[in-house]
Amino acid sequence: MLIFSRTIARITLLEALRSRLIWVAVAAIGVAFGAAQFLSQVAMIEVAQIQVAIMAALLRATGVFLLAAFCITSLVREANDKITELFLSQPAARWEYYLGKIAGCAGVAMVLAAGFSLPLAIYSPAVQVTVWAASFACELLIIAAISIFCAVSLTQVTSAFAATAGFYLLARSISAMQVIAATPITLEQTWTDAALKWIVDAIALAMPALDRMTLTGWIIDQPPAASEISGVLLQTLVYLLLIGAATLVDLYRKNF
Amino acid sequence: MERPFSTVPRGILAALILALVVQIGLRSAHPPPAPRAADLPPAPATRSLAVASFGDPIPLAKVLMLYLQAFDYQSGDRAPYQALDYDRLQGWLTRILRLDPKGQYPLMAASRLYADVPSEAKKRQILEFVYQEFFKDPDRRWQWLAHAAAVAKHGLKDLPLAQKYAAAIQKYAVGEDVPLWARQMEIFILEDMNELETARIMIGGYIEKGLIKHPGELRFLENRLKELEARIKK
Repeated sequence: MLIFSRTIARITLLEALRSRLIWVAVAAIGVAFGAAQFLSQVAMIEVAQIQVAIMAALLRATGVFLLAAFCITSLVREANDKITELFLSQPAARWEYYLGKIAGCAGVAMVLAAGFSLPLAIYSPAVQVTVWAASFACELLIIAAISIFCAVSLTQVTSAFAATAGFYLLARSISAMQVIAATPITLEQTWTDAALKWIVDAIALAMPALDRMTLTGWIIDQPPAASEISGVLLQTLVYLLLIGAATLVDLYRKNF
Repeated sequence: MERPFSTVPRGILAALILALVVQIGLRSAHPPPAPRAADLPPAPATRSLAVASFGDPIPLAKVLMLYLQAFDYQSGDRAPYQALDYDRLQGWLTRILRLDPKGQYPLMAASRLYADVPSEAKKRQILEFVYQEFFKDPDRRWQWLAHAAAVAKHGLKDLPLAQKYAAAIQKYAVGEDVPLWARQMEIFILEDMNELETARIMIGGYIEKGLIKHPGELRFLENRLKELEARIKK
């Protein structure tokens, strides 16, 4: 059962291995480590916090970039080389192809999350780093799903990557935008203020709460409460289901 | 051509609708909390902001101003911002002005929003901030000091303070774009303070130096001068 999906997932993981993604990730860890060491020489106080905050921020952004780039280029290359058509001509449903692809990308996401979290354990307690890593993995899973959705829908690397990057930035900043939209300069709200707030709130409803995931404070100060962790897991599950279903709708409607 | 929707299995469509409903419910259950006054952190160092701006400070200044404005704003509250720490607030406004010295927003917010609080001490503190910042670019920032003078006169009932601000505008805001009413503010405040002789000398000086070009304005000031002289004789 699901042999086809497992094969696709295995092929995707092999592709990640052979495209030297691991080496790029290792280089990124080295650069982040070096930057953290450099800044720790300059800092007078809170040296460890500065190191871990800089490393965590750099690695988080790099992880998102690498995973999105990999997922998008993998799908677009397969489509351009007519490999997708070959896969879909097999006696398997399209959802099985998608399941294999998301499983393969999820595997890459897990490896990146684990690899990028390990150096943080030098500076912070292992328990806190583990929680941060789990949250980072959830964030990367959402990015993998979004990247696949954009690649399937837009079919071009540039447009798919731009859409994924825009989505990520929007998801990270939508809460701040909501707060700003709720504070007009005058006390009397005009209809434009109300409309703007309504639009921003409506967009926020469709966005995952990435601004509540993988917070640097979790490894510098206090680990998150259990309710925060369960919130992250629930958000990841719901969003994977939402984007997965949206991608499948698009995939089923495509003519190859 | 895409294939019709009927090719999509119903289970997938149902999952899409279900996930969308749950997602909306999830987000609705946790709206972002409005930042409270106590949440306003100390302003970052100027150097840190310079690094964060990636060499282009103006966009950062604009975003920071909007971020700052969100603190302690409560929709419908007639007295927002009153719980803010004004030392911290001043720090933020100063940094934003350093990033974008030509920007008008920080001083507008200082003189119109943050000066509109019930606390007299906070009012005075923020007006003094506007006064100090005015000297760094008087021809561009005079209007916020003019508003500060109005707040001092009507809000604080402190005529000497209002006169101090108006005198600064009269002396330092000398650009062509500065309207005459702004430079004449001091005269009317002096009148309110019953400093009639000083006001008379100032109006006379304006007329004698030929600073008044518009015939209507000249007529208005000449009438004012006559009224003052009549009041002084009494």
